[in-house]
Amino acid sequence: MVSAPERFKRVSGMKTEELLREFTGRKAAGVFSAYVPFEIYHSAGYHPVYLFTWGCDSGLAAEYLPGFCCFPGRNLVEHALAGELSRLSCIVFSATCDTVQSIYDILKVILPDIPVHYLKIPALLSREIAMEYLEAEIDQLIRKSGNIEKISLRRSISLYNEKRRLTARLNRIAWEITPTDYYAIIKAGMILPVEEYNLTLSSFLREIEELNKKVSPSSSIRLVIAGSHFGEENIFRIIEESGMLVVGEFLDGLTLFRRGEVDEENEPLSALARFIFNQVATATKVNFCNRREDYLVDLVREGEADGVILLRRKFCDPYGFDAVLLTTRLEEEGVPYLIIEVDEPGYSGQIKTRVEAFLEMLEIGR
Amino acid sequence: MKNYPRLRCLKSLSKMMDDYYALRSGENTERPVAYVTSGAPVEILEALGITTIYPENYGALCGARRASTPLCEIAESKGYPDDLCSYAKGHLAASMKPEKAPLGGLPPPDFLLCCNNICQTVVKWYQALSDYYGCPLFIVDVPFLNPKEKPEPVYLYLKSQFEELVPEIERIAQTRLNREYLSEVIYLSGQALSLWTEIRSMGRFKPSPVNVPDLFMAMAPIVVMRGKNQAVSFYSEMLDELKRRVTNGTAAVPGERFRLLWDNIAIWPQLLPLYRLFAERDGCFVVDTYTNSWSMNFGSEDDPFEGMAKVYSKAFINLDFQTRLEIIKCLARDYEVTGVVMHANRSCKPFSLCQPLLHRLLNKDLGLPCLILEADMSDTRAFNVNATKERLSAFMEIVEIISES
Repeated sequence: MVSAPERFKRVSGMKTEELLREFTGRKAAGVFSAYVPFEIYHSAGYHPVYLFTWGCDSGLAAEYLPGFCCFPGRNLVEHALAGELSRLSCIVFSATCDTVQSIYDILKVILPDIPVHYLKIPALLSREIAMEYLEAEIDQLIRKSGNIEKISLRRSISLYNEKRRLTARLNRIAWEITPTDYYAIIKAGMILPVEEYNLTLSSFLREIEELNKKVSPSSSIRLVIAGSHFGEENIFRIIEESGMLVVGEFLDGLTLFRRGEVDEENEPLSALARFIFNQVATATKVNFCNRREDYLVDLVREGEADGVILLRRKFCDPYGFDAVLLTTRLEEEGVPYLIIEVDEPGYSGQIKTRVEAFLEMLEIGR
Repeated sequence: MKNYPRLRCLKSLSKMMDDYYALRSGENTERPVAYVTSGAPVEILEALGITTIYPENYGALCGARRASTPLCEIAESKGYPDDLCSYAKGHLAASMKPEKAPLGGLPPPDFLLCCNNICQTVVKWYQALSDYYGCPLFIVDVPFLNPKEKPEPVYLYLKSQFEELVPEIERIAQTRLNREYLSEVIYLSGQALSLWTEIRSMGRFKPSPVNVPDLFMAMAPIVVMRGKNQAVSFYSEMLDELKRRVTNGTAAVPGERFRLLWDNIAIWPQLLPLYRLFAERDGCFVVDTYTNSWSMNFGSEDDPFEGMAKVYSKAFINLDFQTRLEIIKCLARDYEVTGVVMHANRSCKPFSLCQPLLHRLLNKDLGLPCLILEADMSDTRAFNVNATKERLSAFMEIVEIISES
């Protein structure tokens, strides 16, 4: 029997096509952007799978996209053109940035046999009229995904809430596990069937928490990792090789699995809309009541982090602006940070050198 | 070099725009001042007596004066990445260092009105401005529209936002909105939009009395003066001049042989030199997609907010790709276009990311030759003159061969 970390690592290292072959029992819904409530597709009988980037540019997408499209967009189009998404029963986007909107348009043309859904998320997530609109949008999405009984949606909400509780427990002890294990567990959570994930993570957490009582806190440098698009395993590996710990993440894509739960007592549709509004917005949205820079600073304090590594995706406008917003606040708070610009994934010696230099600076600062 | 007959009305436009910016400089500026995005429902502000300023228009001005790149470099030195929108970077830098910016920068705003029917980047840009100036930011959120799906929820959502916006602006303006006056402003705005639509349709004539660079130069009032009399009188004058050109058989590009369609925002620093290269090969841009964004009609809704909701949600770039493709195909047929030039604008992803697909489909469905030029609307670093000249020559040869066959 494989251990929980091995299972998570194996799954998180699989490309979408391999994953879909492994989970043939259910139709699969590929989710590309933040804000798509997995619960909806789960209750409609789908296995929702986040479409992480995989591999490097092969040049296939160059005929469909200009060079200044971000890597996740190019990568998804490449997989679509290579036929690697053909096992998906549908693909779901949520309105986040201009690139996601364009990729949605392109996929509708190049994958005419696969339904492509689009959830319009309001740009300003702190006003009631936007929430009413979002409720109507979620209702539309539910209709597109199939006939869903309320009781089934409630059951799915409950399962994903369990996942949120487990993720919160994981985040509290993130520093007790290696950064690459942490990465694999989080990523697997966006891929594995929720039932299996909850079971595996739950037993894994029990083991770690029991172990925790016996170990004293590590003296390693502690980091929060923030920025655009979760999916950069190499950064976690470099952090691990440098002997540092990740005590928290604030990365795009994981928005709906970071904070709080969907109210199970409330009517599911408005509960889902309210839940989305209560989240710390991605950089693509504005929430005057719940600012991103405040959340990041809280994360640093709660995790007693020594610094922040900020990933900035090349050709990503929202996170380009966001980086200035976040770093301005970090500077005010005296929190050291390192910005790493990422494009195609790959183990980079240059990034390793910069991370190590950052480590030295943090050590001197202690 | 071929003689390019300039439109006489552009001289009065130049004076009009000088006056416009003179009234928006230093102490001459009547307050309250709002920074507004180009596709915002400005009629509400106009009816409440707000002085509006359009940072995008200022971005175009900086681009045309080749002042954008040094400003972008200032913003980059403050942490903004080099691949961000050059209008946003240029304007943020002009706010931070007005002494280094054309016109000495723009007067600081009292509030900001951002409407995301043109892109999502404006939301982040205006958020950065709000933080910088410490002033209120109002967002009019226009969801992406596929007219084939039921658009009513989008209209309703927008209408509710207008209703919510009014008391906020009333508080700043310290006056109440007069709905009758709002209707008058909307009427004027509608007149300008109708005239603009008619002006653009003049490109259907053979030879065309208008070339797209003329439209790019003449579009400022439709962006910054909607709801004002000046816009209506300027476009009336322009339409009359174009009609006279048609009567006299005057071509915008003498010896017009090739009728081209331009897609995307202009390359402002290269506006006339670039189009001259096409004109020298007898190519006239008879139509474009960018200025099409203001070819709209307010309709005859009883409720002004309902009419505005319909107009502002249908901004060209807020429509899904299939709808845009159909519009472009209609334009290509109606204007008897023989070739398409697309500006792959590094600063404008909603306009640019689908262009290679558009290229394929226009080629496949209409047999149209297409050229994609990679550049930027205002940052000169993204434009290679020599490479462009070479590609342009090769493209025009293809257009010629296809047109003759």
